[in-house]
Amino acid sequence: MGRSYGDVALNADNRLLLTRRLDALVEADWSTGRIIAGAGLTIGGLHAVSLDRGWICPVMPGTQFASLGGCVANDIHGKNHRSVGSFGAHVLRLKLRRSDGTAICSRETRPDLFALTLGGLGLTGLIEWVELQLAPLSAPQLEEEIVAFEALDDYLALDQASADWPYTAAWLDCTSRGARRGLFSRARPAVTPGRVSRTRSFRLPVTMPSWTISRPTITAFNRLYHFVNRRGGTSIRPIEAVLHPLDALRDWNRLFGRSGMLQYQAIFPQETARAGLGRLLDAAADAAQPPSLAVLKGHGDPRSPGVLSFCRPGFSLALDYANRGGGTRSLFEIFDAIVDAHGGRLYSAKDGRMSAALFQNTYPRWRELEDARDPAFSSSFWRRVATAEVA
Amino acid sequence: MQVRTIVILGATSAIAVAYARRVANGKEVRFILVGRSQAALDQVRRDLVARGATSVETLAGEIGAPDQVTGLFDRIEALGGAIDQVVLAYGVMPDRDALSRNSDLLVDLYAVNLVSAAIWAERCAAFFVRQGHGHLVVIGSVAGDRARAGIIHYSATKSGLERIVEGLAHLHAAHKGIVFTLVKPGPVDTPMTDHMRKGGLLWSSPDDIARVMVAGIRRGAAVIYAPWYWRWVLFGIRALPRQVFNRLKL
Repeated sequence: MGRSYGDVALNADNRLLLTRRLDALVEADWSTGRIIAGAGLTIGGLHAVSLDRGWICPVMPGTQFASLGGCVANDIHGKNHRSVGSFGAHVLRLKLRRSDGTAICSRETRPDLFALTLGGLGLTGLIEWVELQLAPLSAPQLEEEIVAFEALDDYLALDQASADWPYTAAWLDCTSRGARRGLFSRARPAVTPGRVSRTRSFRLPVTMPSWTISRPTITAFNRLYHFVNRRGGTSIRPIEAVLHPLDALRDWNRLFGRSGMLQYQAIFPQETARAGLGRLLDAAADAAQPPSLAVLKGHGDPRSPGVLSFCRPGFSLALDYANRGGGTRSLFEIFDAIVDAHGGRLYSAKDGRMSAALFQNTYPRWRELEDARDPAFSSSFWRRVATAEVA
Repeated sequence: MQVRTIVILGATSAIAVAYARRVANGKEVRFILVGRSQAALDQVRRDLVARGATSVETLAGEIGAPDQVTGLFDRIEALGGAIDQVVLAYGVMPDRDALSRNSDLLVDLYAVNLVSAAIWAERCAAFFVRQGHGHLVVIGSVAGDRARAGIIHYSATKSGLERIVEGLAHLHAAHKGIVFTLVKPGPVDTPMTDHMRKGGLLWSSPDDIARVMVAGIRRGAAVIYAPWYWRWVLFGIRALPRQVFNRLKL
């Protein structure tokens, strides 16, 4: 789709393979929810056909404009990672077009190639189609509850107490030191259809000047957002509105001006999550540049055979920053040290600057992907993290 | 509800596929897909079946070759049943430089975009008269409204299509069941335009066009600009005095 945050899909001169036109359905059995679809079909394009027939994509990212091929290549996760695992857990078969011919793989047929393609960053060949098991749609609306919290431990406790809520995530205010206030959102299928709150999407028509996202505006926005939602509460909302928050403002990336944005997303294993998140948030609060958005998610067993998948049981934190060049980069290097020290790792899908050493340490099985890589496929990301020799 | 039959000529073109998908979703429709490549037609057929089309038949042949049209139309008729709508969706847009050097390419362009289309339109109209009803939808272009330097002959063929649709509508004006519609999309991101620089506000996706088409065709509109704003842009462009227009780099 051309919407990746980092350089996993890019090559020299920022060239990339667009798969938008590979958006046909090959087969669909609406009695079982098994579909085969072109890799370029988006989640939204799939839902335009499947929701009316009672099926929903089991794992969805924050935007409906992600392609199925991209979901496979990054083995993406959603707010329901605890209950359903990552995208690869629901993929039945894949068809790859490689420079040496085509290959169909699954858990049974060529399982190695299958496991390396899930989270394989598109390097094992062009994904032509994806066979996917959809999930039955129990209700077209979600009941969403917002709970305000004031400290990281409160968040962890809330997360613990939300086993009945398949969709969870938290928004954090990173502009104030000390307190870790935020808003915990949890959602589940609405049993009784209620009055649906109206949601509208807007499109940002122009690229904004770069000061649009700066400390005063971020602070003001965070204070306002927290103030408006401080009492929490429950509402019934359409699934798309809860699960695709990024689509509420189309072309939101233009907010960041011409230099764009960088996201830092790290995951910590269960044991070190509390310490790691705390250190990372302290470092973010101490920095001159505040993140414009911070999102926490709990993760369970990925249930995906993906070898290089990002997810593992624990917690992930995503921090959005306006790209301020060297300053932002050196801040990220401070973060890197914390992530590495706590046994965490970065999400390749969002990365555009991770060092080869960090990648190779935190994804120790990377050589298997290098061996299975189609020699005709590479990316700026891969050349950066996998070809450099690390002592 | 009765199953409608829609014949699509050039069924693998991006706008045709987007239109068929929108029509297939949730309605009783039988499609007859006509195009040049059987493999490509099969791909569209599977897609439409998965999206809920009642039935999909395919017919491969040289739709743009004037001497093939009559034979192909007979084969479509031989499939049996009523034909409620025919969408003529094929066309080519060769590179301007190649056209100015190679007159064979010019002959091909007019044969595909205009001559074959004229024969299809005549055959469809005659069939609709015998059947007592029918809707012919022809995909033209905003380029047919005023010729410009880069796409002279493409403009000429699309302008010719408009005259054909206009004339047939005039001829059959007394017949309420027979409807003619010309669709005029602005620039669309499709394989046909891949040789052009894209991006910016002027470009639409095939699905943008399909959405406008579905609504306009349901209304029985004579001319559909897609998206709608092109009606007013072209109104302005047509109104420009030649001295002004000829100074513009378009």
